[in-house]
Amino acid sequence: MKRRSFLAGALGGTAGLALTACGNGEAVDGDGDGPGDSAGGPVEITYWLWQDDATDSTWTDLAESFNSAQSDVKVTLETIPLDQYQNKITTAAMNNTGPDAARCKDWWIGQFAPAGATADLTPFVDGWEARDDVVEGLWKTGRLPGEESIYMLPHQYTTLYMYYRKDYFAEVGLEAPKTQDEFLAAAEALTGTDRYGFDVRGGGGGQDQWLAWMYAGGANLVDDAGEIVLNDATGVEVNEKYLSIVTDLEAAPPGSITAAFADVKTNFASGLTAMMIHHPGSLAEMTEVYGDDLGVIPIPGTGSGPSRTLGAMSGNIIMAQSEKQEAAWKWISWLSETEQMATMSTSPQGQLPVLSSVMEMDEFTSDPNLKVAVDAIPDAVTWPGLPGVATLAGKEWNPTIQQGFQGELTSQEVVDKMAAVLASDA
Amino acid sequence: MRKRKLTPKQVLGHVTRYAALLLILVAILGPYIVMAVTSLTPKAELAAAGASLIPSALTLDAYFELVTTTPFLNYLGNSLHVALMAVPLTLVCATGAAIALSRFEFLGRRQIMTALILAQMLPAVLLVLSLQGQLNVMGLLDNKFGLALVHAAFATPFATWLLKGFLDGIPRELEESGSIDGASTWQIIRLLLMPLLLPGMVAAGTYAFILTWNEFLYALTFTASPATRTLPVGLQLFIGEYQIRWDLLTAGGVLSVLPVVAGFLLVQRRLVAGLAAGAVKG
Amino acid sequence: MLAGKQPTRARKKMGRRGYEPYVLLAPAIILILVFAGYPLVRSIWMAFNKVSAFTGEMAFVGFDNFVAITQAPDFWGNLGRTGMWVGGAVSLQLLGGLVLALLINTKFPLRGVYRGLVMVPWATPSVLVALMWKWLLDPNNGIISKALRGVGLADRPVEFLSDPAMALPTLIVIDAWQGIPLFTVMILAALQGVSEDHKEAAATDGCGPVGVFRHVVLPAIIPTILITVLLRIIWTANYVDLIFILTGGGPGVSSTTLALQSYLTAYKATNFGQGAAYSVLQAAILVIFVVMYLRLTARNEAQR
Repeated sequence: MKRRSFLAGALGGTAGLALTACGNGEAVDGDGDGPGDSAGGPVEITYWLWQDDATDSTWTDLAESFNSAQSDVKVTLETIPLDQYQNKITTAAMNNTGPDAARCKDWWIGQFAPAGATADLTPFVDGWEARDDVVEGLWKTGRLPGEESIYMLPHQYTTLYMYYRKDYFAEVGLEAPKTQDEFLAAAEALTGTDRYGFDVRGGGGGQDQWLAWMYAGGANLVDDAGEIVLNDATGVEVNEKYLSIVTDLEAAPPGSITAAFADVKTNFASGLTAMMIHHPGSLAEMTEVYGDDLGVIPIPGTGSGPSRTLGAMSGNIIMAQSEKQEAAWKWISWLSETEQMATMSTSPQGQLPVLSSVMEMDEFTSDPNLKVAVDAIPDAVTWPGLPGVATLAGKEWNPTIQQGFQGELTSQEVVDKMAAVLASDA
Repeated sequence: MRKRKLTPKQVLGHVTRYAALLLILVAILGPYIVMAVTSLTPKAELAAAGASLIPSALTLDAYFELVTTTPFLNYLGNSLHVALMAVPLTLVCATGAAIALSRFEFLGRRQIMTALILAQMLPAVLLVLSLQGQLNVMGLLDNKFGLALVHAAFATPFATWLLKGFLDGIPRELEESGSIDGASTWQIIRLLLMPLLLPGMVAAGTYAFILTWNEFLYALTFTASPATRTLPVGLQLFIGEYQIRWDLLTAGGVLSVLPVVAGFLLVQRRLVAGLAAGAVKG
Repeated sequence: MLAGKQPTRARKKMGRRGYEPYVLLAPAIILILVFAGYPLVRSIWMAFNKVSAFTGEMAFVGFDNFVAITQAPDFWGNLGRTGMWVGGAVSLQLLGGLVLALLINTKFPLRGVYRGLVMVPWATPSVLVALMWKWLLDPNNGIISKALRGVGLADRPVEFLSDPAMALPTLIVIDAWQGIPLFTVMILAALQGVSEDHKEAAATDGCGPVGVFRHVVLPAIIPTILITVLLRIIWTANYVDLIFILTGGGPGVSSTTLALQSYLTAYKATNFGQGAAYSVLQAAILVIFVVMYLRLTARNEAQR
């Protein structure tokens, strides 16, 4: 669906935005608008992004709308495969060949921002009229712990929940689990000949579902004071339960300790597993496969208080090296306006919106399964913006948790090792 | 060929040989057949339950979608374009260097031979960081010629050593008689050595071609727009955050291999022609 | 008895003290110096510096990075696995390539087509090779695991890539599968330099097939084999794509090599100094093979 008519009006708000500071001390020529200015043409900026499906045209359509609706800024999209995205941003920043603006995951911020790679967006955000429409709690995904500066503009959000097979549960006469102990009992009961309870996803990207489990069970990475508490008693216990799915219950399918999401999804879709932790991104596909046999519940937790889970943000950053930050802001703030966000969030690549005005739309309130994810937003916790987070997620989490699953490390050793990585500053 | 009666031992030898050839072909092509079948499997079937060897129906949808809705043909063209620059570059550099190293004695010869090997000692993932800044300064970023230069630079050392090996195996009487006849060094190289070197050049050229055809990291880092992006990077884009477009990936894989195999079929005769002509028998 | 081998004077004959060799070498030297030499030297320098990610600023730290990586708990294990990975993969490739080259150097119907088809794995981008095998080897849905269970060779799904004892050997076999064609083509090309007359002469002198191979064929193809093996050792040591996509070095660290560790340290932990140190250290070890190779070829040349 294309929405173009609204553009002229929607842009009025940002066009008149007055900027007093760019906040980064980099050379900004004259009016900050770069070479395009003298010729009177639009300022040309580049924007890097990854896409879930490179054939989907949502992003290119949005860029076209943006370019045709105003003549100040012309954006060029460059799609980079997600597996190499972080590498390419790093290499480009070191050689000053990066884009003006880029898509960014919340767990990279702790690495990018303290190193001075991303521009401080606070002055831009302060003058942005849609500011108060953003769900207040989500601004923290673009901040560093204990700081007020905003480095990433929230854009697409998601919360993790659990899919389960109602028919499999009925077969063994169980209700959907509410606590982690019920979950473990169910996982064991559901495991039989060529059927398994749950994929632990020890491979690529598995840290997200693990952290969702940890949060749900009451564990934390850092406390309110910024101290690392992953390896406290709760952390050890909740992690122990996760490891026990493999070590004690043998309720995970073969290959699970190195499985990435593609394997996890295939296993669930083919009926090999009974439960799967993921976000609404796979809801449409799973509904198509299972129809009414598909159930969605919050991730089992402690059984008391609101259920917690992991929230994951894909936002937008402006590179500190860019000499066209004002133009870059125009593009990324336009993406975060009501209509464009609705377009993105309802597209095949979309996740949950971050604007209250969009969240109230029918699409996000009428589906009871989707509502589980939307309802989780207020109590969802994100990766903290620590430098060690990217190292943990990209390098250390996989071998450490896999050694836990193999019984080479105890739960205590696993969380100790991870806590040490989080505490390191690189 | 003369017809001869085969002894039982020879028959056994033939049978073993053909059995081995068949077995090897299956081992080599087996995974590839699975890939080709996958590319013909309906998308819905792949999404629901992964791949199966026997799809319920065969369809060319993936190929159609690949060609019409993605810049795949662009990528293919770019890859060819880069290869058409990188391969001749490699061959010119490597042939010259190989002749110098095999046929001449000069100051620094052994050092250069060693340096050629040492140039390859570090992984590309590390080199790419410095190389990107360098290309940027040279204005060769997001530029097919720049990428071809890099590919040629990394293909040249092995190609040089390879060709030097071939040259070392070619006896030198011919050149000596040539020089007695009063031919210049350049004439001897052009008229006598080059034809003899052809099988080696086909092997080295094949190597250079495949290197540039498959090279991913430099292509990813040094190019950005669809106008310069090559095939391996284009294929990688079908691996998304939460899904892998197996249909497009495998269809693209099939299409990307075909030109290489076709090209090799054309040149492989040259590979085995060479010295058989008998010109240089001792 | 074997004609055609000339003393080294032949080399000197063609251009003693001439300018020609420098002209011939110039393009290669310039190209390599500019596009491989500079990044090489800078990367080595990085190993002795603390490199700030994103700004690229460097501060000299001497051997600190090397000390840090050799004291990392998995260092020696990674080193040993790198040795297995390189040794296993290259020897399989050499053996397979030699056998296949000898086979397809004989005459048989459709030989040309066969030679073309044999190239396929080599002509396939690594990412596709990796994903294809991941799919085939999947313990639950992959056809290899299913086939093994079907014929009764396995009683449960085979975890090729998630069993710590099998992950590295499996990777080695896949790498060999991908790398055999290169050896085949190179050896096949070298085999064309073997004179039929020499073979026949050796056979009439009473050499059996093995004798002919040892005394006539092998000497002719050995230069090609040696340089291919040497460079393949270096490339395989530095090759991370397959491991990264298929196992990520796991399960645990059971398939982690130095090169993978270098990549992860540099990019995922943005510690480019230590990342470079892993690679430089590995290069220093690989120099042993280079020296061995140069010794061997020097002897070969002297014999000529």
